[in-house]
Amino acid sequence: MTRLRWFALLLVLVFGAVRRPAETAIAASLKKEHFRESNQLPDGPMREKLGQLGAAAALGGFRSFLATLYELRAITAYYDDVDYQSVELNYHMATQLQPREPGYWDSAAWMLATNARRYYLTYDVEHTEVETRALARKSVRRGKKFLDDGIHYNPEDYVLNRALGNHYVNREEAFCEAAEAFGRAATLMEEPNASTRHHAIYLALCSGREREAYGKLRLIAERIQAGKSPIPSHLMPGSVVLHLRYLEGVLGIPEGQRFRSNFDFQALYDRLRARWQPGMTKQFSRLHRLRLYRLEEILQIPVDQRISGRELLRHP
Amino acid sequence: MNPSPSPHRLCSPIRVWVIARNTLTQLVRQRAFYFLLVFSLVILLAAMLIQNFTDDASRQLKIMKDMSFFAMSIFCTIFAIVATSNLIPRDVEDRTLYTILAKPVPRLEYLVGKYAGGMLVIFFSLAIMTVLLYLALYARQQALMAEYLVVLNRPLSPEGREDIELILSQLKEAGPSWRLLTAVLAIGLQALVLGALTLFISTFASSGLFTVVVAFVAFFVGYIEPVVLDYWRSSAESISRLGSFVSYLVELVFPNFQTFNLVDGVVSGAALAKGTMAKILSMAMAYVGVYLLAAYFCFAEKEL
Repeated sequence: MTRLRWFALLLVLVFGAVRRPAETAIAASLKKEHFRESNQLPDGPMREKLGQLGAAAALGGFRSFLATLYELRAITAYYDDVDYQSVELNYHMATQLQPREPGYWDSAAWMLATNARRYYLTYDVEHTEVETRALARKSVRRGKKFLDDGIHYNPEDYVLNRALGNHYVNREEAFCEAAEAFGRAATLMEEPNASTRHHAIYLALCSGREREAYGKLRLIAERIQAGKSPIPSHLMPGSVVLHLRYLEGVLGIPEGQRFRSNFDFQALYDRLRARWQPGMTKQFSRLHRLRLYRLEEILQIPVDQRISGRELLRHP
Repeated sequence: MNPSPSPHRLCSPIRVWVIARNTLTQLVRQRAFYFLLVFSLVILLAAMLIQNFTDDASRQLKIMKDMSFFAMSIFCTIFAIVATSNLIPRDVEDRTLYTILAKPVPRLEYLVGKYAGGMLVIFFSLAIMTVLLYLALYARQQALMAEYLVVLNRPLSPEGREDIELILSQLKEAGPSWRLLTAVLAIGLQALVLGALTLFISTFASSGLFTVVVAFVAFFVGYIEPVVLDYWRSSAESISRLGSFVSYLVELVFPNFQTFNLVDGVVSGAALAKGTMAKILSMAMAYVGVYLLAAYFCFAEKEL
């Protein structure tokens, strides 16, 4: 080897030693700026699923591309094969490859907690009724896990926090937890929005927090009435006024201090009641039953004529 | 009286430019730009396919970005290695090298000129691919926004209105933006470093195939090594002196390509600070400078 070639080798080695601290500093900056959060070595099971080439591609700057491919596979498994195990597995891969992409967590949770649940309860003919119920419950749990994990990685994402609130309402009927999730979502937006409203509404269904809920609902109702909200005053949401009026009764707010509204509670009650037929109890969610109960309280319907008193409340 | 001839300059940017321009012409004649046709097809295919796969508007744009950046990365990596590895052997084969070096052209200028020519092809290709990507993204974004604006003009519940407004704001964010140029720049910088490394290898390699194989291995190791070593150091209970020395040597020899791995972050919406970008840019320039100098050291005494 000639003298200059030795120089070349020495140059490369010296440069390697010099650049090392600088590259460590760049890596630290990139981590701080959220460029390295998913840039870890894939763990054992994931490496196995990715294959050697996939693992190398994931490290080589193609994580986003691979995540897209896995999502496309999940969507194909949903549309073509109706194979929810495959849907879950592929979304698991996509979320692990790009945990800071909230859309993957949201879609995964929706696929399992809503689509899979509906499929098992409605269309699945391979399993017995007991099995399909168990499968539906399992898929709801797994859907929720995706939301919880997604929020762990993206605590400031509005859509995921709102989706968790909707999950608690529609799948678990856990209103206090729903109120908390909507509350977190509401703080992530600059202007008051639907989540602000939902936070107050579900807080009104949360035992022990009635006074807090009343204050929040009153503020929302007054904003709408004063024209300070995107919702026009003539479209005042029924849920807001209903819970507000009910809580005024529960908290003993004096007549003169109550929220003034000409909302037609009777019309709302008639509408809800018209949908009810004897024997339909199970189709009414706990939320609907609570609404009916509160409307009957507001309208002071005699106990023997109440729907909620006779049949609905027997199935809480 | 004849004017006195101008003195021969030790380093002339004009001579470098002439060599670079000729290299560019040579590579264009080899139909290097045909890849752009493939790239256009990838974008077109992505735009057509995604409509069947997902209803999520912002995700449709993400898929387009993912596929486009993937195609860009692949093109730049393969081109930087394959084209650069052939620059010197082809000139030797054509005997062009002897004609050039017989003139008062220093070998360093020849090397820099050849390298610059190769990189110009990457520069123009990246520029065209970026314009294509921006146009495709803009067209899709506008089409999607128009669809949602029609829905927004219908009577909607407050929740429905909020959902549509949220989608529109996500669409605005996911469309073409200056931030995407960070990813393009990162791909370009990686190609610059890889091209310089390949040229360096080609100055002492025995064949073109050897250069290509070694460059691909160096690229692969350069990407994997920082993550693997970090993992190994953090998980190993005790590291032997030999293991420590070998890992240190690997770090010294192989370039750290993770420094230029920004595409995933950009697609996810992360924003790079100007200071960090400046550091990455400086690091890339340092790599190029060192590898070209090392290539010169090997090439200076090479018997042709």
